Amino acid sequence: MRPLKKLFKTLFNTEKTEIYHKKDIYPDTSRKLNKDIKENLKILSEEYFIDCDDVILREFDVMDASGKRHRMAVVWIDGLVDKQLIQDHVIKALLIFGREMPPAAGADRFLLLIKESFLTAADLKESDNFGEAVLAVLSGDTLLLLDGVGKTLIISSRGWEKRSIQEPSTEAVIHGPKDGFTETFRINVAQVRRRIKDPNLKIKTIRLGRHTRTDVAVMYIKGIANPKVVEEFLKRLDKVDVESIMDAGYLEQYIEDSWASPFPLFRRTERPDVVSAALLEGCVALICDNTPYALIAPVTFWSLFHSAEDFYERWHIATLVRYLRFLAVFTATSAPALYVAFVSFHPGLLPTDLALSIGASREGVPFSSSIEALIMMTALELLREAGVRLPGPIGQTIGIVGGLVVGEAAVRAGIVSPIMVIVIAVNAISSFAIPSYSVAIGFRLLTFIFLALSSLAGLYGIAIGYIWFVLYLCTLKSFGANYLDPFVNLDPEKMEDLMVRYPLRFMSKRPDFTHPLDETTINKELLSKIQSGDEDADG
Amino acid sequence: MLMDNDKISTRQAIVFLISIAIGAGILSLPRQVDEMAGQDGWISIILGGIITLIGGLIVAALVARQKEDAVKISEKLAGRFITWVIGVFYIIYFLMISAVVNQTSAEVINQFLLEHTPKGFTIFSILLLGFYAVRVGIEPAVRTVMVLFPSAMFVFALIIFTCLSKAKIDEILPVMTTPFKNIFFASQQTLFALEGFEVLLFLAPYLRKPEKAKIIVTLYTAVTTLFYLFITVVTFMVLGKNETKFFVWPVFMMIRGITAPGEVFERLDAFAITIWVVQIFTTLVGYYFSTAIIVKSLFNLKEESYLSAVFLPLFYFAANLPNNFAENKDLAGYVNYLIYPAAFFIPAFLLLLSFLKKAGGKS
Repeated sequence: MRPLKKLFKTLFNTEKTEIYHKKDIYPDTSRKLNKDIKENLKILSEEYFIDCDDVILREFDVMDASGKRHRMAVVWIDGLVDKQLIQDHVIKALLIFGREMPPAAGADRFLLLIKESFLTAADLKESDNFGEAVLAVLSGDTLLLLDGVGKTLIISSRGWEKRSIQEPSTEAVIHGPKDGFTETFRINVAQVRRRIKDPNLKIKTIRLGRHTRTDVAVMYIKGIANPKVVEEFLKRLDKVDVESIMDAGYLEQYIEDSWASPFPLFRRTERPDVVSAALLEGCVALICDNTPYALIAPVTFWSLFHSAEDFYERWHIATLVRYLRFLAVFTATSAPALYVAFVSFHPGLLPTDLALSIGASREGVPFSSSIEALIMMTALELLREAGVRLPGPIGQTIGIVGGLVVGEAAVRAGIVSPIMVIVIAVNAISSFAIPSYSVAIGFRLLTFIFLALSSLAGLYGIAIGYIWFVLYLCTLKSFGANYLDPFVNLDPEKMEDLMVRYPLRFMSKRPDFTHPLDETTINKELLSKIQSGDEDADG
Repeated sequence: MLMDNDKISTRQAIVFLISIAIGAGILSLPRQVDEMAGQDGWISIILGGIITLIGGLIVAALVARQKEDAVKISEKLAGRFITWVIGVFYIIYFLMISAVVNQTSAEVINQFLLEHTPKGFTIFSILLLGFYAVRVGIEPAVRTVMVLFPSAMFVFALIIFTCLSKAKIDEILPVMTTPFKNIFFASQQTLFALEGFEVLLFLAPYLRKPEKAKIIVTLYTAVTTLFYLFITVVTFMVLGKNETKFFVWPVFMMIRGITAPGEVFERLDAFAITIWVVQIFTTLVGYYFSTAIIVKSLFNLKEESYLSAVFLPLFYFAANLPNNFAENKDLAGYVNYLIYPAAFFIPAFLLLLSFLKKAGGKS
């Protein structure tokens, strides 16, 4: 009984804060640095960095103008730092130009002198405790320790090998920016900042993960994003107390509204332009270190069907594509289910000729149509999974061998009927016509459920399935946004971006699921002039 | 966090009420009015709409004044005993009416869609969905209706429009050939199709703006009446004024007779029924919710969502009371009498009490 009880508890416990062990991941600032450099180095090399062979400690003497020697040391981790910077702007600067240094009176004066007149590195910080200093070294900064001063200088020298900015692989566009996020936190943040040159773009950085100490940035635009949403974001992030954050996917699962949902409650994007547009709609974006995509919330089901290109192309095409995606959702969920319903339950609905040709093609197939569909769908899932993991050239081979050779052979051998192959292919193509991969995967799962329902009760089963599906989606929320917004309101004012993608010049409202502070995108004075009927409003 | 989870907007309330009214009634309404009023049956629907509007306005006035559900109102105005009588009456009423709806849908599905599936399966599966809807709460349930109902109506209207190609206007001409007495009696039969507004009595505490109840019922009546009018007139024009009464479910027989444009599908009746299942679901959700709210108010409970589990077997039992079409028709006849107290007399009685109470309070 106890494991059952535990399972029940975990399943129905919505506030799962207590499973985390709250422990401060911020550095312990209580242990202060000593005045004596030898003591400090000893603590660093024998306590903190013992058996850390990648940590490099270099000691040297700097002679000032009066001939007095000052013992100094730099500490960094090999591979994480820009060595050129340390050489040119720290060691060289001190060793060569240090000789011109006037004798300083007192430790503080000496530190100031070094900091302000001799170090040519751009970014410097001071610290007086081990906790901060050690964390700085681990993050790729360099420490400069000075003798006789109870403080250390933290020189920002992060420079590791990183992937350069490349075209996003999962969200390619024909016309539109081709830069995508990379694994490096700062570059990602900067890519968004470069697009929104506005001091109201706020970036709050926190660290998460007791071991990984991953940087996570919460981005929003002050004055547009609802402060309650931002607050909720920070609150939920604050509750996350785990050992490691490897990827933003971890975070997503820790802070999403519903853990049971097969559909994502965050929008994932590799594109900085999508993040910027979402921020301007009043969403909050989350950028996590080591992750080449950002998370956006609040999100609605419908906004997951938008591609960046919808807004770059002319509105006719963008609108047409929307209807195509509607169709894709329909066939992605229920193409095999409908086929099974027609063939097994309601053959009278089909035109006579089609019914006859389906009947003829199924001749010799030993299985019922639902088993046939199940076999084909499972085979397709296997092919998809195999193709994803394999490198490009072999992946193509899998496609050809699996799709063409085995498919053809299976039809010839009479295991499946050719029409079933068409149905399954249409189903698979539709599910990948949905722009968001994580949504498409959710639909692959649903296809099986709908197939089961239709094998049970034909069209009635499919109707029951759709009712359940919509009912379930209606219970979902993402940071206060109804998942099925704006369908659930039927408010004509909020339809700007629904059935027709309005031409941009008529799009004057932000979507209201984000509860933005500033609801319109056009100038307020202009708006009031237009509303008051002033004809010369655009003057 | 940002939105309250148990309030529904005026627009949502309108759609919800319409979705309750449009459901099982579609099937038999043309036959019923044709039996009594002949080719002038459509006039009885307009008459029925006017009667519905009167009842609806009484309910709206009560709701706008008291802003609470009927059980709470009567507890305040009429005392505990009468409250229990009213509450139990409404529970029986909703059980009976959903039994008729359930049994009708099972019958139709059995006849047109799934010949070998036992009725119990269809009844139970749709009740299970209703249970889930009540379990997740009123706001998600109403939102679901907001998504499902307009799309179902859209497809259903498209199917009806394809029938228009066979329509002959002279089937309903000339008008007013039947005695007015018959038209009036036929209009009483339309109440079963048109009712649904009495759910507003129990929806009141969830309305964001209960003072707009009058707008809700007016639009509700207009849309439902026009919809039924349209369906009935089209059925008369396609099937014929004399033939409609011979079909058990004339609307589906009419749809059965047509082929989809372009001959994509040989028949459309199965699609129409699949869509209609959605409308049956939205109807049942309304009754299911009302029952849960009544029990919640009678026993002063905080949550209604768990109560739905108790009702599942109860509703299932009620739905199995009539065993065949004839028994179901009889039950529908009795329920038609129950509509008068449920939708007219009790709300009027409570409204009167609330006027008296106010007058008494002043003096």
